[in-house]
Amino acid sequence: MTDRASQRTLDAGEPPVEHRSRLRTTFETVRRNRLAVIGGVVLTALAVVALFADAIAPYTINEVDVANRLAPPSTTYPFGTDELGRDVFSRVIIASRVSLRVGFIAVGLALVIGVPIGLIAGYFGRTIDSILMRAMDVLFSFPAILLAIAILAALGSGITNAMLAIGIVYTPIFARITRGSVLSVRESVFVTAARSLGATDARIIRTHILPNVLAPIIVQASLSLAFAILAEAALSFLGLGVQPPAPAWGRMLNEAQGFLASAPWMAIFPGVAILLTVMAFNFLGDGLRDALDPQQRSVIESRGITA
Amino acid sequence: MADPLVRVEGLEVHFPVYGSGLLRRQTGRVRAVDGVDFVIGRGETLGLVGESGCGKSTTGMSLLRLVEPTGGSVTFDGVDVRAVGRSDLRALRRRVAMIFQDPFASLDPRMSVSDIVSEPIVIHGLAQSKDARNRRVGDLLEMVGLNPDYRNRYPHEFSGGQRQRVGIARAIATEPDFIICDEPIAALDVSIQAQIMNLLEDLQAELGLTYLFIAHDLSAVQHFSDRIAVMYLGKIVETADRRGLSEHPRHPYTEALLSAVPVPDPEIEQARTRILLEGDVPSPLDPPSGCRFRTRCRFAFERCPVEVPELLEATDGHHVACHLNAGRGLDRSTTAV
Amino acid sequence: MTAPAPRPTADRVLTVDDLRVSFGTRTGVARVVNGISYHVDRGETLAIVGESGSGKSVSALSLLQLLPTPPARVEGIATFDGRDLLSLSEGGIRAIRGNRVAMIFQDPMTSLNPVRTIGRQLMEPIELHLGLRGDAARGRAIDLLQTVGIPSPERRIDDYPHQFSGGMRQRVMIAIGISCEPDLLIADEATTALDVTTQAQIVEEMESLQSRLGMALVWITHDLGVVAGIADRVMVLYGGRIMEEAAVSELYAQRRHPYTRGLLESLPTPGVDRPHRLTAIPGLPPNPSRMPPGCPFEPRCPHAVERCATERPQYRSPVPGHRVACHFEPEELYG
Repeated sequence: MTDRASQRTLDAGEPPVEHRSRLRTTFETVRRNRLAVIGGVVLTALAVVALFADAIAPYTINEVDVANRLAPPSTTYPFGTDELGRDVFSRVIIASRVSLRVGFIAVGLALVIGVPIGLIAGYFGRTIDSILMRAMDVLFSFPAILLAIAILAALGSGITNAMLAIGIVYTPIFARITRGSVLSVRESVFVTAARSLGATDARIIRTHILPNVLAPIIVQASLSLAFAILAEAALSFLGLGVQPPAPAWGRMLNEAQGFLASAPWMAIFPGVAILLTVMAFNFLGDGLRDALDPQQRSVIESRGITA
Repeated sequence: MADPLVRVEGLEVHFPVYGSGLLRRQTGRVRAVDGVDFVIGRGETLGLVGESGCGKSTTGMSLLRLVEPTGGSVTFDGVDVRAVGRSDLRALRRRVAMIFQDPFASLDPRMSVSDIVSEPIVIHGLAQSKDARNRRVGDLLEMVGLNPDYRNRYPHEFSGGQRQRVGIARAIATEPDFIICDEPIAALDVSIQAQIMNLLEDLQAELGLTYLFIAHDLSAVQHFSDRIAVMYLGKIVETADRRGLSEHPRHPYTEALLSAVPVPDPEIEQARTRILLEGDVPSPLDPPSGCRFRTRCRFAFERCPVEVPELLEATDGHHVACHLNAGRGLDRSTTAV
Repeated sequence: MTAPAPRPTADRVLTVDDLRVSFGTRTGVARVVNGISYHVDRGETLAIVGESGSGKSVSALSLLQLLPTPPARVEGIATFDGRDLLSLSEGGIRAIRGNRVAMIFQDPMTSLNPVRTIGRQLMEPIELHLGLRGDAARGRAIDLLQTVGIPSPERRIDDYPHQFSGGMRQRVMIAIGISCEPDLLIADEATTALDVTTQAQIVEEMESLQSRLGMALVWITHDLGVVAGIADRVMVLYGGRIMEEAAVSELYAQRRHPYTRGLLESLPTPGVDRPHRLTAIPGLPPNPSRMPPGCPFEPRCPHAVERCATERPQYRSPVPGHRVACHFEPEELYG
């Protein structure tokens, strides 16, 4: 290096901040949030259970033991049996698969459709923004569960259609969140700098905008997963969505209605499963939000199932 | 000037202002840049100085069409910048680069320094291979005084001055001819400002760069520029070489500006009588008629509200837009302070 | 409403003794102010000069107990009118704030409440500390606006902050600051955000106000040009410590401390026959979480030796009123 150059490096000095990868910092922040950690642990356990459901469940979903129908929890049947003598424990475990599957695929669909819509609407603005967001507003204006039911009524019940319906219902919120973030990132100086370098719009959206709007999207995704699972439970409770003989937590609640006094465990255990899963996603989502984007206000979760 | 690198004539950048009614009709225009002329020679530094709201940053951005001019012409090396299509504009942005004021906001926080500096190389396909690209990034970082070992770090791990160096490395990556420096040192600590100014000067000599140096700090502009243009409320009021401007300012605003700049010398400061301007800068939505500076000018007379003064050559290379002394502006010998 | 207290008769308005301020952060303790001692007398202007991270603003905020403690930890003594400002109760310090010791800040946009008229904000300290009400308070407010050079004050008193320009807003801030005729006014980067022509107006205004009211003025800034014009004495801060303190002409002429010298030499000064290249100070300002035990300027000092990194320099006083924190005499350094 020339004299001038080495003086220049001397001028500049060393980076003052210790090197810490962003992933690690995020991880550390979440780790410090006890609720988020609990949520994470519960979800991991749930994932394991769902993956190995067949191996864990002591009985298959169709095994009946008529002699022991409506039996309270015991060593043979940890969660008791239902009106047909089926093991509630096994059914709850196997049903977890359905819930998680529907939840992830539905939210995945909503992401894949909603985020690009938000990106395009937010970046280009004007007419295309109006058109896209009005379309989203139309979807958004329906109460979630009614919209899902309407879609299923049109397409017919079944697990695939349930995923589609829930996915469509949650698309607008991802579009809106993405668009909101894009509007502010779009005005950043580094985006202007990218334009000054000759970057195309596509490149700017892909390289600069998208990575900088991911944080609120991730947070929303984890929260939406919670609601998607609730939505699935509601749909299967109504007899739409997953069809028998496949067990689903919601439908188990439906079937338990007639036996609430005599065999409350039929409702309690699926109900608690729903509760734990939803809470776990919520805690994790909140923890992620604090770690990734502490300024973010929580999106109005009026998109609740009771709407 | 024969064959300047940059020629700007009658440049206008007006922003529409919309009403709040149902129809959102346009109710007015902010005349941010309202008829600006200047030229920049190859290898020279033109300083563009003015206070907040004068339109200097907008002028800089409009040269690259980061903000679209609404009138006038911008010519870069003979090419009409306003007329080129998309791909030619992109090619132009290879030869013209920009350095921004805020070293924290002008770098994408999610990209590593290496990615940031290599982006223009990638956009214009200037490197044959990934290795070639990496080598070039290393060279660029060294050129701006940063240790290439830190290339995989992120902007938030560096100080303001170091980030500004990253921004400079990015700007010189495509071997541009012309760099627009938009307040490059304003956001930096005093002890770092000198480092960056030295760096910019060195790079100019090493790489044969031409600069437009936009700033509000007159001392820095005087140090750094060969020629200086003074802007007020969207118009250029005076253009001169460095010495001519400080020794023989011809526009009353330039005079007031020079008078207002504090000098780090107590003997001078405590003895001097300042020329204090009355009132505030008028709104660019509704600038004064005729000469825009007349509302604060102590020499304003009948002609000033009526006629817009043109930027005319008073002496060799020294232009002023003022009606005083038949267009020659202030004459120091006759206007005793 | 506070009972009117007798004005201090002593010439020395404020004495600060070994002030230290540290912040507890996740990565450790950040020592922002590391033992500064100084005084301000009636009618004089002390300039506190420093860059970001020097501790200049934090030290001023701590005087009026404006730092949240935790995470801040303030130690030392600040004597004003026979009492220690740092150990006053909440009620005690509130009686002082805006009344006997006032502070004005850099950004009038955020220091003024956007949803209240400036009249309301101006009358607040008047009502609180001076006990005036209604028309009397309003009258005094209008007088103050007149004093700071706001045209048509009787009309503008009912305007909101956004209806004023930056320079005007800062004048309003000044009016609020001097409303109770304080003994000490602290201006923290009060003109930094203003255009240079507006700054010139405001500085002029402040100087005339000061001579009229006879108050002590502490002017915190990084701008060595403004300091040259307004200050009687100058204190140069670096890394939370005083590097050099002297009368203003002494400081600029002698520039004994290497940091002072480096700063002054790195400024672009107008004048045509000068070397084209500026003399820059290499390196970066220090990290308050990792303050070295010795002289904070050591990493960047062209004259540093081993001793400078380990041993904190004592003050040397070449002339009374001029002190320098350095192990060496200027003759040893500059020949």
